[in-house]
Amino acid sequence: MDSTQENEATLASRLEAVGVSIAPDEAEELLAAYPALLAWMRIAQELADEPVEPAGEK
Amino acid sequence: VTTANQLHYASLLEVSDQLRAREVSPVELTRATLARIERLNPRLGAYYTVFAEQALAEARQAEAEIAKGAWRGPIHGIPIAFKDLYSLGPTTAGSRLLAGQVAKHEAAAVSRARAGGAVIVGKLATHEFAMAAATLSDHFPPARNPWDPDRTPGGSSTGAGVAVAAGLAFGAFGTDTGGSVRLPAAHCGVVGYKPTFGLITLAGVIPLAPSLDHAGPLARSVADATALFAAVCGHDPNDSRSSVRQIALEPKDLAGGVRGLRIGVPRDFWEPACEPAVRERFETALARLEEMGAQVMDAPLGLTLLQVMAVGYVITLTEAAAYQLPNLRSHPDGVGREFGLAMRAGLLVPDAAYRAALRARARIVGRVDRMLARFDVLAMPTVGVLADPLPPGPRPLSRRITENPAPQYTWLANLHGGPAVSVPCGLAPEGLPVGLQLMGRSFDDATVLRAAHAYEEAAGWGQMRSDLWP
Repeated sequence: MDSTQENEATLASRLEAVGVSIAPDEAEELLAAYPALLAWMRIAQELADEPVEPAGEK
Repeated sequence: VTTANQLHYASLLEVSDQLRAREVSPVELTRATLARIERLNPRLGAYYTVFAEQALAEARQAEAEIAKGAWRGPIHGIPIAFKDLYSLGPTTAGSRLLAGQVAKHEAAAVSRARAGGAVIVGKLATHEFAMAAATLSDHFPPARNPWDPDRTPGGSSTGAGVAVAAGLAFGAFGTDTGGSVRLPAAHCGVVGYKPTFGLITLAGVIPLAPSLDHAGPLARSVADATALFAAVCGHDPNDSRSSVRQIALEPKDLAGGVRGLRIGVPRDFWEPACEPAVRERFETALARLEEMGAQVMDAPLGLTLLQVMAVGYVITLTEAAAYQLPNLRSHPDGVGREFGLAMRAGLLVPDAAYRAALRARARIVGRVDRMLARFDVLAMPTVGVLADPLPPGPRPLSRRITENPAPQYTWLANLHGGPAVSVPCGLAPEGLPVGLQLMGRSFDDATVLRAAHAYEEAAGWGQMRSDLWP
């Protein structure tokens, strides 16, 4: 399975798990935006994981 | 002699003085405002609903009370309006899903404004559920920018920006999750104020992302915005987000200027994505603040715009999708395409990623607090681009969820929770307004508003109006 197929499968299973449907053309649009959503999550994770700066450091 | 018909661009406080002195009648003022709405709203789309009869009844009551000396305060007898996310009469959140719904209870902020004697003239246009960009093909026609009606007024409090900028209300209340009060203020050339989180009750306001949502006023001056804030602020035990710690703030507290004020400019955060026309207006505003005696210095934040917007959006999409889940299940086609897709994207965020975004938010708060330990306020443009043309139909989701987002510098204050205000700082060569944003320490709203007021008085941009709607 390539990454697009993997993303498609992830997307379908997550929405199905919460009982929300999606039309095929919408699924395609969501799939196109999904890599950027993953990037946002990665950016947030990296920021969360940064070492805590000591209080008072400028 | 000034007649009510000539007052539509006057400041709220100026009109308030005239009402109190009985030089102008609240009834005549309300009639003039309603007539202007009737004449211009078909072209500007600021209002979804106008409460003409009720507003006139409120104005008559205000007139009688003022006549017998029972003046309630600065908004007594003043026509104002609320974004259609506040529960009050027909309440749609700009979504066909809620079209025809009438609120059973009034939002607490509306009741507080009513208690202050405000004349509530109507409900204002919004992006769907305060998120999806308005388009020309929407169920509700989009509000239009008074400076160029083919462009967006900025959102999501679209109608609030338009109503205040075009003289269709003397003040308005919007909501602000990532900038939705300050962005329309910047694009429409008016003032938008997001108070410290928890100072204005959100009870009865349809949520977008509860941990980031704020209520806030839009007005034609900083003093007017302060008066609107003062009329509705205060702890509300019916809103779990309402802060027990509150502040007292009135327009008279805005005097004092900026001499000696330390203003930090986080260029690493805003500069890379900013359009030259916006930057030029902002730099001119900074120079003016410096001339006025402020100490303006670079203040590297150590955060990129993308980091801040990514964290803001991951939190917003997740919280909004959780709230909307019942609607998405029962009415999968009930909402507009962009909003429905954005909510489905929110459902794709795993719990662990949401929790990571909350931890990242804490890091952002820490960095902003460190800057605000060195500086009294931080200054940046409100938004790094000029108002876009209104899109013909729903924008592709990849326009919103992208690693190259539209530069909205407003998200920083929502994540931090402290006060932020957008004041006009001039027109770009295209004839479109640009906003200066000042943000500050939580509960130190007074310093931010004082600086904005001083700038506004010195620069004079608060008087600028589109000549399309004389």
